[in-house]
Amino acid sequence: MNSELIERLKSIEIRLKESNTWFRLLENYCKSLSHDVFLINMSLEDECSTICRIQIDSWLCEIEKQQTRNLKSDAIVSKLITISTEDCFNEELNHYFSRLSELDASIQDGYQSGRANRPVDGLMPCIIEENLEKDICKIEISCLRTLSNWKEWTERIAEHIILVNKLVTLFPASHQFSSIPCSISILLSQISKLVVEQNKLEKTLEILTNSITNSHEAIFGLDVLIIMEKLCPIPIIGDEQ
Amino acid sequence: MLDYNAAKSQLLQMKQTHLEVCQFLEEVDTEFHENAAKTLATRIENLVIEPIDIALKIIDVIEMIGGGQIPSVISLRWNQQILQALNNGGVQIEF
Repeated sequence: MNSELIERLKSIEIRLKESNTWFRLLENYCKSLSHDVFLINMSLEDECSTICRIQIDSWLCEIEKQQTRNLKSDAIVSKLITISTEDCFNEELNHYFSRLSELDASIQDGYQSGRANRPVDGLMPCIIEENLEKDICKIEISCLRTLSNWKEWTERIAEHIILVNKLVTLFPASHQFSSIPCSISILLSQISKLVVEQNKLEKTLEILTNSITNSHEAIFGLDVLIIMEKLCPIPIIGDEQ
Repeated sequence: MLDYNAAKSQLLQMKQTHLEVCQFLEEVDTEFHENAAKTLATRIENLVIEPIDIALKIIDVIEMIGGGQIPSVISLRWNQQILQALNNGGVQIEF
């Protein structure tokens, strides 16, 4: 009986540690996304990117809450494993067992069938594929690179949208995270439209002002002025930021 | 979205027609008609051929950039200019 209990507690511990790794990975990704959206917001000064930043901050707060709950549960499980190994139970520990029972039930129901389990604080609601982990790492590394034009920003935002859409599918509707990645995805799509428009402006300006490919600059003088007024600076990290 | 290829061939056709008219008017040398014919030729050049030339140059740039890659703020202006040239080069011209 005791060995079965220890085994069960160890399984909870493993899942909690696994969840913690995932929460950290999500946190790092959110920070990268937040950094990119911050730069775009500074450049475009639009409402969409402002709201998107707020949503990302909310997600970071929720992740932090989950991490705290995860660490608390992990500490409890570790202690209970030690106590169980030394066979020194007492009735006062029942309170902690009842807290872990929800975790245990969720793990048994969800993880074993490979589907999203019942959302419990501190536990990732499902097993996450390795490919997704690689995608997150890839995008985090690419976020370190400074982008030099709006075309590259269009591609970066498209990568973020694909990844956020994958994350949306991971969380059941009743999970605390569920609505946040959804709204971030919608807001990123709106930001993407603005970035695509900036890319078009940049490309058109380049062609209209390139004297080699264009021999009729005078006709497009007004268009060049309109484009220059609408074109926002490329988001880059300045000294003041 | 405007069919730029169709518009281009239509504009080239119109330009050719109006150039031929202008050439004919320039060649009028009878004392009674000369001044009126030359004035009319100049007006056709300014009001019809020139906007057609601008529209053709716009279409050249659009082809260079790519139809779907024009910023909306510019696309609207350019489409208006092309449509205006098409209309003025056709039957809607007023002298």
